[in-house]
Amino acid sequence: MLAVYLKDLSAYFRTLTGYVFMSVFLLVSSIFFVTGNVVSASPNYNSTLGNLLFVFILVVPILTMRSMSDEVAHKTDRLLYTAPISLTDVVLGKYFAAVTVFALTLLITCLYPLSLSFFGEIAVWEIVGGTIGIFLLGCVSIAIGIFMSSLTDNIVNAAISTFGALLAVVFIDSFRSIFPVEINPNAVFAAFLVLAVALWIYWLTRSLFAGAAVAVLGLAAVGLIYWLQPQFFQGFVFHLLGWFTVFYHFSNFKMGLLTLSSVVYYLSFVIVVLFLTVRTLEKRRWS
Amino acid sequence: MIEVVDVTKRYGQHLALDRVSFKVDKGEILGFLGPNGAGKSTTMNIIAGYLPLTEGTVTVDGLDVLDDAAEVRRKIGYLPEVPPLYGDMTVDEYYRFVSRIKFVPRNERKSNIDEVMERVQITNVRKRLIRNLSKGYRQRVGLGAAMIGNPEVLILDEPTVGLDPKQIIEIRNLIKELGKTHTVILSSHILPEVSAVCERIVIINQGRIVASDTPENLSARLGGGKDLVIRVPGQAQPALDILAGITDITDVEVSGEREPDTVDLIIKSERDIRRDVFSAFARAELPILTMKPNDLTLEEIFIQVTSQEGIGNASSLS
Repeated sequence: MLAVYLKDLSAYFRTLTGYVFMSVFLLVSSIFFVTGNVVSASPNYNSTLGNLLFVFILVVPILTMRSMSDEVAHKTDRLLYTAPISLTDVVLGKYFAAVTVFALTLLITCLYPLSLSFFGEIAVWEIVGGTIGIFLLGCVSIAIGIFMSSLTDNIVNAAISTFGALLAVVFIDSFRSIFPVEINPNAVFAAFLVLAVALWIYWLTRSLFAGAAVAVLGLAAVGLIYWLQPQFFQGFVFHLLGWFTVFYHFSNFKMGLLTLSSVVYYLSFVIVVLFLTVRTLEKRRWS
Repeated sequence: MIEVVDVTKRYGQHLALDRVSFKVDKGEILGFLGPNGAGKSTTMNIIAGYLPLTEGTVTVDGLDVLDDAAEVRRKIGYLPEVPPLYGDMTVDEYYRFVSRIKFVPRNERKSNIDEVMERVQITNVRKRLIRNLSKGYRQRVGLGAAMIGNPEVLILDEPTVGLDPKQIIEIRNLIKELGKTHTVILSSHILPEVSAVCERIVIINQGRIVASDTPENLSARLGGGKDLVIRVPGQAQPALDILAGITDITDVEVSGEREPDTVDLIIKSERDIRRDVFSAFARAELPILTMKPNDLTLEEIFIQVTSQEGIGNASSLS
């Protein structure tokens, strides 16, 4: 893992990617800082941090677009996959390299609140909590970017799909409340979801039996729950989408609340996405 | 050392390899020959563990390439068709990276890299960016990368592509040299190369092995070793008259004028008739300018075998 990590980390600074990421991030964040804190003479740094979320959508695709897709495009994946290292090593090495570049950039932004502290009182712990929150959120976004990069061998496709995925994750919070909470439409949605999962299983395994089994068992389960415990479907979609409200969890951090549940949520989100990345890469080789 | 048994590979509906079987002994250099799209690279990718197979088994040193993947990969050095190079690295950085992912012990890395660079003769470009190297140098950097960690097996997919004639000879000699201590599989569509370097040849066409033997045997089996080609001055008729006097000639074929004012004849016979031919022409005072056995060149074998699915499919597998 260390070898891939060092290779990718140095690649960020051998090519322009690392510098582009850092400069765009620092440029936009400094604009937010100057307008939000300096000009308006406000010590509330965490609202500036909150605005940085939207910078993520813009810059994370730059950071992660090359990660897996470039290896496939330049056929260097043959070297990685025929070496004795495991696929997990490759993905983790690449992930931590991107996280390191991000962490370095974030470290530079710590100069902003530091400069504020010379001119007045700042809420130190609130800002520390907010920065940790931003860091974790960045880790999640980068994991999503690496995943998207593993789906394609074209860096433009990787960048655009990462952009779209992050945008969807940002808006999911406001978007999910438009779904009806009644039992019937949610049960129908659950049935469709089961069919979608069955199709995905079929695509993964190319086995008609596995897909059909998942569809039949899943639909039976939905029917059984609908019969025995219909209130389970009350607001089903709303709760389901709640799993993806990555940015919603940030509001705690913004208030300086470093809650264990949010940290665990972010870390497990990262682990699941990276696991999916490894599985996807394996699947792409098998097909 | 390497055993490929009934390997089949499908891409969706397309059958890329159809029950391919062959064996490579320790220290052998095996040549893999076939037209483009025959399945050479697919076979090599499967042995190297890049592609999974649909059916069959591949074992390296008794270890299955799928079940003991990590262990097998330590034993194999692989040069794919397109060398897997990072353009933004220097050769030095690249080799350090390769030796790390191949788990070369830290204290051996430097000496191993120096030795490999010396053997493929790229020491003079070690500080340069790979992106800026010529095709020949890149090919050699890729070959060297496969040799890092000193794996027992080398799988080389068209190792001399893009090299100039002098470099080709150097690399061929290097591969021969490596063959003394390593097991080598190499693919090529340059036929003299295979016959010069390899001890055994596997010819593959449309996903099937159509022939597998030593270059000499392949040639002999197809060519019928006792046939002669002679070149004599002047017209064909006087020569034909002389040949009519020799017993046991089954057929004479006039193959035409290859050199001004001469004619080439192919003489078919069941026994060695060189002495008789020489004496007969000497008595008639007609000089023989050339006399050689009518062995097929590898080119001719290749075309015969791949165009008509000739020489006994299953029986030729060894």
